[in-house]
Amino acid sequence: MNHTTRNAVPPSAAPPALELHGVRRTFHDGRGERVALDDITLTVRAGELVALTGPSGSGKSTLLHVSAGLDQADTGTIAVHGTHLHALDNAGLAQLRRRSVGFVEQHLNLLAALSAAENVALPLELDGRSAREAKVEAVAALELVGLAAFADAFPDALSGGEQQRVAIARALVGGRSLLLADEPTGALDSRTGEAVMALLRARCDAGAAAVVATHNPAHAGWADRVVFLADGVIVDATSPPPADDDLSDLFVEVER
Amino acid sequence: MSVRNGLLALLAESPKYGFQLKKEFEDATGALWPLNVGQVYTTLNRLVRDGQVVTDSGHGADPATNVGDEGQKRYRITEAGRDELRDWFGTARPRLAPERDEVVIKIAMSLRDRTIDTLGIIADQRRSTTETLQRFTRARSRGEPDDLGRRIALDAVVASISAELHWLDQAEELLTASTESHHAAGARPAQPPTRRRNR
Repeated sequence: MNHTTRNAVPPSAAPPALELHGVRRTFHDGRGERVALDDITLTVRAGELVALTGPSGSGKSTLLHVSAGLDQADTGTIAVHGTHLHALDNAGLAQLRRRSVGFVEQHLNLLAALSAAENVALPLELDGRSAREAKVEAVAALELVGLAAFADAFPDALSGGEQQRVAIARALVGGRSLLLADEPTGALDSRTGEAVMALLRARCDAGAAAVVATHNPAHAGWADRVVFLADGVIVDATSPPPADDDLSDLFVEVER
Repeated sequence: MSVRNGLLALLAESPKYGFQLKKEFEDATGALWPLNVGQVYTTLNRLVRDGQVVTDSGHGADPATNVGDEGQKRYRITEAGRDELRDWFGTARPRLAPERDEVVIKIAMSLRDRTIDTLGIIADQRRSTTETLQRFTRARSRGEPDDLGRRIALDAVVASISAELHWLDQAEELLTASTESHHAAGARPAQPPTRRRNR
């Protein structure tokens, strides 16, 4: 991938941002066992934006949750920047999430009593950073999403798109390098949704990695690779667009 | 009609040369529809024949545009041309049925033969169409942000590709539901269960 060449480290030297191997997750309900994920193997490198798509219930959310360590796989391995999640205790997992993994939920869960900057600073403060230091980093993260001017605004004073960008800033803060986003454009109008995808694209072009679940093909189109899920299985995936693409093979001469 | 009216719109600004019209047409629409020079001159000749455009001899270059050598034909819009252009801008184009769509025809034909894996055709098409969508989305994000014409032209392409992907999802759902109801009724499934294809 050409994105990884922007980092000084060649892609083979650094472990992937996210690596799932043979991941299976089942749920038990009153009627028996339901397979949410079955034998999922997926590698996402720094600089890559991967879209997960597929029908409701195909396993997109579960895949994101197990990748973030918010849910546990029954079998298989999951590694974030080479660290195996199953080797971590709860405290270690929480620390990895605070430092390396940003998670954007469809419903933003911004705390109404806190300003935008305080919401974004929260994970750093939970990680033991001083309030002042956390604030500086939070404002920097808000600047990345174009919201530095709203640092002191409270969530209810912000539009839906602005709140979504605050949630993304909270996922990015402190230089976290793996972004997992579950339908981050679901509640947004199409123009704001496009802006959110453009932002995720820009963060990946700057060296982050992101996995985004979406049911909107136009939003999946921003990805380097689109991975199709059905019934908990990866059934297909696209190839990245060619480098220096001039689109010329896509045009036909039409006689008019 | 789009090339004809597009050229009239460009000529309404000022008299222009053929190759200049080709370039301006392409630039105005984000280079999405390349024109060959022959197409430009064929259309200009028809516009001249119909009295909507006249040529002037174009001695020397136009000082404003600094293009064209002596002897090249320069084209100028007439009042009749301006009338046609006003009509074009002033009249909505009826949304006609789409042109024959090979994918629609392929999927419809595949339903007639039980040995053909229609769900597999849909999956392959979805992957291929998504790859095209990724390429246009990337091209769109790399343009000059202020180039509104290009942005709008590429948005149109992205929207129509997305529509095909929505339709493929619908076709898959419809076919899956129909296969399941056949199955429930005791009939043999019309399609082999091929959704779980690991690549």
